[in-house]
Amino acid sequence: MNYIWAGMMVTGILFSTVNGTIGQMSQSMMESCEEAIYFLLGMAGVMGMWSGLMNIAQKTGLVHRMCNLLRPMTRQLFPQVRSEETISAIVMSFATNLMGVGNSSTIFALKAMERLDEENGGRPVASDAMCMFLVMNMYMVQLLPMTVLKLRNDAGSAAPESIVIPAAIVEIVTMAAAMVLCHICEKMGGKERA
Amino acid sequence: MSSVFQWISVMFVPALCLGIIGYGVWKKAPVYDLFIEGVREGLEAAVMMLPFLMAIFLGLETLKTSGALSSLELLVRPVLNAVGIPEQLTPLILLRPVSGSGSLAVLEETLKSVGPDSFAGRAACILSGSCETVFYVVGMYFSVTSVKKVRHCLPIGLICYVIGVFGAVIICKYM
Repeated sequence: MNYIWAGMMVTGILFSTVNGTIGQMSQSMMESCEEAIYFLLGMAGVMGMWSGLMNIAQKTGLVHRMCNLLRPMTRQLFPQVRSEETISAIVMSFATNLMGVGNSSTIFALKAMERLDEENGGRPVASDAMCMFLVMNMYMVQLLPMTVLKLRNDAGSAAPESIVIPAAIVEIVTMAAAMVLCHICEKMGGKERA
Repeated sequence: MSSVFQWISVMFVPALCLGIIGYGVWKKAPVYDLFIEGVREGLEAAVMMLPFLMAIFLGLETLKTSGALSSLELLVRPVLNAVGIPEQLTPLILLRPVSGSGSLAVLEETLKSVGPDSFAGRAACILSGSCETVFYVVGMYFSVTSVKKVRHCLPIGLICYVIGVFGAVIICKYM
């Protein structure tokens, strides 16, 4: 994380001196910080709502039931994850992602990552479950790409929905590839687990 | 087919709400109190996330405004052309891994200039679905953890990105 972040900042600033965009740099840096706050404000509302609803689901035992139902699947994908709270966050993140509720999905994903981090004992090396969850959620199929459809419509497409099926096919392919690759890496990277 | 998808997508959140609250009422749980309690936790978590978010936004924005991407564009364009990917897609392909909202703006422009039903236009749309904001996701997800080594997450994300680009172009040739 340290390297990735430093890499982004340093490359960005160095390139902007070369490209002569250094003038806009300080302004856009400030703007991005502002944007982060606005983004969070938007997120916080959705986050509050979901976490309220999930609290009901958890205390009433609904989460427990759902986890029992999905156990066979999650055990295959995330063999080390035992905690129900973690599994429910993972499942909810996948489900909201599939339905195209992007912001909500991010919220559950962050919750799941926090929980996985705890299960990983706060170690500095990502666990298998974290990697599998991340790549799966990243390349999760989206049933209906609403935003893209709207853009197509606005641009005057004769058949805005014509891309839904091909897009779903490609997304299934990339998701399968992501899962397989992740599985292979898990098998190979045994020594990194230490 | 897509109307079925649409129906499911539209119904999902309300149905889930109804299900959870209905179950709570049926179990005679204090749903309102539980909701408030959960919201409080959620808001606290949101505030905790802010520093990480700020770091990610700052990093990505720096990359974007620096023009590093447009320099890369000149470099990548001939390569993409050689493998049969329409060059109008270059800005989209390069911006997508770093910025979701930025790439949507680019998609809008691309659709306007090449037409939404053209080969490149369709490929651009599919690509926006099949290729993900790799750096954004990896940065954001791990920001809430204490992980320093992300292992195979980044390489896999990028490999699948390439698969997604090719997949989008290939499927547009045949469908």
